[in-house]
Amino acid sequence: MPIDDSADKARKGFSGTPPGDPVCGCGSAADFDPSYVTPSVPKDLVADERGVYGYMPRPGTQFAASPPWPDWSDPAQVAAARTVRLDYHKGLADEKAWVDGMREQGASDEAIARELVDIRNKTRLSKYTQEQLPMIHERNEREYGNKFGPSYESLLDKYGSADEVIRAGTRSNAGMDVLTGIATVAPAKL
Amino acid sequence: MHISSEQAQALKQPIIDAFPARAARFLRAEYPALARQVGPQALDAFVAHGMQRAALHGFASERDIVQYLLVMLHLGPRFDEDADLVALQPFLDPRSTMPPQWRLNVLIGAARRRPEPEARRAH
Repeated sequence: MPIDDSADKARKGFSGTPPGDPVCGCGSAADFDPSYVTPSVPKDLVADERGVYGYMPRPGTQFAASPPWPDWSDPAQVAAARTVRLDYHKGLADEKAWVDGMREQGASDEAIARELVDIRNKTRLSKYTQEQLPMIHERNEREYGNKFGPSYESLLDKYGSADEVIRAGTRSNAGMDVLTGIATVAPAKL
Repeated sequence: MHISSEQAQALKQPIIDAFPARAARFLRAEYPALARQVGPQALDAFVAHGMQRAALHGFASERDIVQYLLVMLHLGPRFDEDADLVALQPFLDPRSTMPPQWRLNVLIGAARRRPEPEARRAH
């Protein structure tokens, strides 16, 4: 049983309170649904019925190379990519909720951005095994001058303000979302 | 009618006791082959151990504990002490400002990248 299916069932079947406490409807037991409608076809995609969700990347664009990207006409490969994409959106939703919570508590944009950069780096590193970490640390050191990933200061240089550093990580690529069926393209107006 | 604190505690006890049984039943339903292999006593011990470890890491609700048990099934009962999984330590820290569900989502993501527990045990 894939862990995501079991975890969804656990969220729905168990209480959001500690064992023995009165059951409440608190916490999030609802299905996670990041689906949305994008107003136009993302520029790197083209309508193509071979695509599992009706679109294929334009040749030579970012998501056209397979590998590393899946064959967008293969349902099994696209289903696997969709699971990864849903996980990414779940992370974005968690991040947005955390930022809102920190702002409500009165934290400054700089404090939020600094901690968020740290969380993002740690989350990225969590995807690797201990054996892979030295290689990733080395790559980060080469690319960012910091073995854990981009530093707050380097991102501040790049984006110009703490608020933009916060926003930068919460943007989603509409092309990838259409290819994985998370976003649908609004029908063209006649 | 007045209910004493002892009586209230006695009334509460079966509810407290019910959770480990419900959690074990859930795991049995989700991973029947694995549950058959390890047997009911080992599964109960696994749940009891998982509840202790989950509490240590700040996962308190039933929902969070069961998700923690699922991560344990995939990554191993002592994954939280596994030197090979040191990159997961920040998400096991109960002092983290990250809410438990966010930390669990990261742990579930790590578990997803491992082979299914039933397949792993078969090997």
